[in-house]
Amino acid sequence: MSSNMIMLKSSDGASFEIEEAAARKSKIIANMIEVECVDEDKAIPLQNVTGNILALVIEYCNKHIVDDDDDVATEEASEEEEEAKKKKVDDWEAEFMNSMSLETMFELLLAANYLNIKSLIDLVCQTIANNIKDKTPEEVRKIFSIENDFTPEEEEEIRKENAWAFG
Amino acid sequence: MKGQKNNRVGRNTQSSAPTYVGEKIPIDLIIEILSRLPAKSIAVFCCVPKQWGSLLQRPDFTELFLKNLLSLPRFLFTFRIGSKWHFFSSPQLQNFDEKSVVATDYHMGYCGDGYKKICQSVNGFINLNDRGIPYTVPVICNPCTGQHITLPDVTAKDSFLRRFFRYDPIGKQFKVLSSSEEHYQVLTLGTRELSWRKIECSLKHYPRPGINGICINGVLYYIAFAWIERFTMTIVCFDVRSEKFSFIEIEKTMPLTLINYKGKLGVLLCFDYGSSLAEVWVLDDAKKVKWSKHTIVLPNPARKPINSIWATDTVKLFGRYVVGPIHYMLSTTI
Repeated sequence: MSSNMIMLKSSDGASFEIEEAAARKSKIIANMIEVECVDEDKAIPLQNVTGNILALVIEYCNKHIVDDDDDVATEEASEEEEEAKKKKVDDWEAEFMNSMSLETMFELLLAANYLNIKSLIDLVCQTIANNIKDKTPEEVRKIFSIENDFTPEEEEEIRKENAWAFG
Repeated sequence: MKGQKNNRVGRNTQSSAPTYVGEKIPIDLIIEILSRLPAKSIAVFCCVPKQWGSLLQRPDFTELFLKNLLSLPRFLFTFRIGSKWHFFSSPQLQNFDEKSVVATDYHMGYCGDGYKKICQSVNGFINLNDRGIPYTVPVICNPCTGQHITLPDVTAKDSFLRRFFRYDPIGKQFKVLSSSEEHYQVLTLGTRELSWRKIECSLKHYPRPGINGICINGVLYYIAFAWIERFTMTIVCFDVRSEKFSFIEIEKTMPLTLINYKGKLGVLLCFDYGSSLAEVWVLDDAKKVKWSKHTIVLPNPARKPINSIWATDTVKLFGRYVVGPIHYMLSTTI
């Protein structure tokens, strides 16, 4: 079954063709389609997203359009089928995020935020959280390029207050 | 895959590094990330920059954190060995049977004084209480942080004294209700000076001994006896926010248990101990006191008590040691 295709253009000039249903995962693009400011012949320019990241976003959206279409039909699906389907999506997402560098995750998060794709924001945030949960404050400062604005005394004070967590 | 750039995550903050993406993450996305961390990491990351420290202690962050946790519910278990209570939690599995093995996390142990027989859980906090013995005081534990506080003693004590630890979801406050023969008092947690306040109650009542009560949508329900023309069994409804009492008279005299039936108050009647069928009367309309009757099948009738029924008609929460779903609280001071 054919569906409308639209073109997206990354900040570095790469063009991608994507099904409208997949592109609608992005609220920004969905809004643009609603107000009919999408010209069929022209690509939508996405100035904050580079080609390599946009490719990831599109891969994610393509995988997830099926889920949304299924929502209507799922009322008759059994609980087991639901669970199996959810597990399949979870496995795909784990594989998708696996081996992605932290830097790519940040880029993907910024793109998902810019394009307003809530479920992708959730997925990337959770993966970043899992990645940093066992890091030390010093390591986290490096990851987010944050300067330490505590004096050693102040830091010691916080450590004492939260001693249960530093143990 | 897909043309990733070099991994430069470990780079220090240098003036020549404006392109490093980690520093471009806006604060609202950082909050989203932090709210998905375990409580322990959050406590550690309080000293990354000062801004995070104040941000992580704000009530709206706690709310976001709890919202994310609710999508990953956990069971909180407790075992008492001698006078020591041990707290564990485990993921909530959809389908488990007697052969299922679930990995649990051990949180803390608390040495009670042996009189603390009742254990209530509210949003992951634990209240160790007694069965109405006046000379013991309740303790509230945070299994996640291993901290505990001892509540101040109530002034009026008698053998009917009972305390209920509850949460007001609108005012976002934890409160303890103390109900005794003549006096009704409330204590609000989180205030610097913990102290009991007297409140009014129009009907003198005697909570049934050994009960926990149940809280649904900010209303605490417990069974008590009261003198309404004759000695009558009554469900006491205590609105945790407004601190007002109301009462529902019940005619049944058989053993009954209050349960959460899909978000409504349910009264579970077990006619025959060991039978797998039970009757649940559900309070559909609290104002008009309108009940509906449901029959449920218990998976293992020998196991009691049942605390809650969640989402479906199948009872999924049972067993002697299940205290309730856990939602870790962050507060380092409870």
